[in-house]
Amino acid sequence: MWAAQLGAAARAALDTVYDPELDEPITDLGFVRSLTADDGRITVHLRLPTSFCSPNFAYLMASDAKDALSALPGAREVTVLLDDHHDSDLINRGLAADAGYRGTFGHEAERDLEELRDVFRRKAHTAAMERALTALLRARPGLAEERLGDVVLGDLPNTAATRALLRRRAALGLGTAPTDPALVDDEGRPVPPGEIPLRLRFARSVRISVDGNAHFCRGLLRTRYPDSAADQAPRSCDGQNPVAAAEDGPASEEKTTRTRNAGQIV
Amino acid sequence: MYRKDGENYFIVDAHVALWDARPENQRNIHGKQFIDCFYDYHRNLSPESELWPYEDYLYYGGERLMKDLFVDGHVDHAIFQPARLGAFYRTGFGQTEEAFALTREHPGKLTYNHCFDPRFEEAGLRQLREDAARFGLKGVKLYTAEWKGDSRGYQLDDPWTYRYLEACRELGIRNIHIHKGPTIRPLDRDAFDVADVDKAATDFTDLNFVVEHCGLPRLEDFCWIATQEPNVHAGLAVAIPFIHTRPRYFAQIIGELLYWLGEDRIQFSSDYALWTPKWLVERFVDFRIPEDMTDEYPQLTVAQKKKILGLNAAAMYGIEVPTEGRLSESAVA
Repeated sequence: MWAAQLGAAARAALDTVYDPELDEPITDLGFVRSLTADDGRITVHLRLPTSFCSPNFAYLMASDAKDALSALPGAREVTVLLDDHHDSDLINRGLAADAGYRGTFGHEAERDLEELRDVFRRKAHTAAMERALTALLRARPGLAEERLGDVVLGDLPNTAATRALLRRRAALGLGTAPTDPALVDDEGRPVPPGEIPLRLRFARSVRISVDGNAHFCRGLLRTRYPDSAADQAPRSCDGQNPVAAAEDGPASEEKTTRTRNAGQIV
Repeated sequence: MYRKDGENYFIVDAHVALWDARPENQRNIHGKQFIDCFYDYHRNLSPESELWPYEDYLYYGGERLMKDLFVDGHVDHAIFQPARLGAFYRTGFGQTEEAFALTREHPGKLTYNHCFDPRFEEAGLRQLREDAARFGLKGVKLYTAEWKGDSRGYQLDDPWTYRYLEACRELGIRNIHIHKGPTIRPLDRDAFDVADVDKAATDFTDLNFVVEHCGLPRLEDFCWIATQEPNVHAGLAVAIPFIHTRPRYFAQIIGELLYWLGEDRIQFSSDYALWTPKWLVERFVDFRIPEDMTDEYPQLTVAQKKKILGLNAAAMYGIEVPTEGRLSESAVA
């Protein structure tokens, strides 16, 4: 495969790697510092907002990146390196040896990171559900909160917020049929009418928390690596929020019109 | 006492530090990484006029602390919440002797809280008893992501932590400040999860549990447990500087806290020297929920601001508030 083709494929593969906490691709967040692809050899450097970002999430993103790149047909040799982290040595050694989570962290690892992933898939779903349903409440002033239990997925308009909700439901293994109720708990069960206002209220705090962290992490990354600003894309769900959090500093407006260049693609 | 528009605000800064992160005190690369991380927080969230040079940030000393808090910063009383970080810094990060000496030099202005680490087991328990007597401890600060040997964290519901909390109860240490960090054992779990605080708060209903930076980055989990546990409180460290860079986000944080916890369980903290209190106090007194968000969050009242800025922490620590700083009967009603 041509270097440019492989580079583009690698870039697309990295677009599928998510930061589970922030529910966004690592590419949009600016976490990909550089990407080189040459003669089947792919090398990616990752960077994070602080050297004290949680090592379990750091490992997840780096190992997911390695898996996604290794699956490319033209990839013969894949190297993923996490830069400037307190566990860089440990994680990079584990990645190079394909040691897995337990092989990398030894006695600090008990089983695996699947439960951790699940916790954040549930949070991502809760936030997406709140965005979609709050938007619906705004659009239909006559609709009482308590009646949201009657709303099915087919009632939601075909918007980015709805599509995002469907993706999160699929990721969690919840139903995506037009007749499925839109407001459900983590297991896909409908919420009793009396509990709806509290449940929605809690879902809002989840959404605020995830969005707030995503903005803070973007900002910290730019503080730590000023050149990362050019690689960051605006958080896509901002436009879906009822009260837009559009205050990410003067850079955010520029960014929407700027072409991203995820590190150098050689 | 901070005065604005005819109102008096008694200010308690419930989370300050006197640290030494200079290269000669750094034990290894992690000492540098840690203070650099703090410095990026400082640079990212401070107004430009409040930025410190990196050299000042590494170590500022007691004199500068007194000036920043009490001369310039409107603070009436401040509480040391030291992090030991013995794996990163030779004499620790928080400077115990210097901070305690300062506390004795300025009685009535400073409270010294110390830290413990349950992984020191029996020896640490003996030390806690000595520390309680020496420092007259009313509170402790726990950093659950502290590294110790090959362990990089502990939880509040670990059996040894419970023994320490029992000792706190016996020693009259009522206020347990918890600061969650990025590591935990096992790493399978979310290190910022506050489920262990929930358990401890249920089992030690006579102790106050102040979760620093109000559970951020897990505001929602924190609010959920705090709703159920009346002895769980929110410290505003790290949350309050968003008032400058992201006032709408700050409105959401404070709005959520007021909704879930109410106005009596939120404490102001600058997290000095991460940030300086002057601008935080001034901005918070002036703060209003943006008009287009008042459907979601009611406007903050003067009484709420007074409680958050000082009266809540003063009540928790038994700090006397001058008459003019107290709430008038009408404000309470």
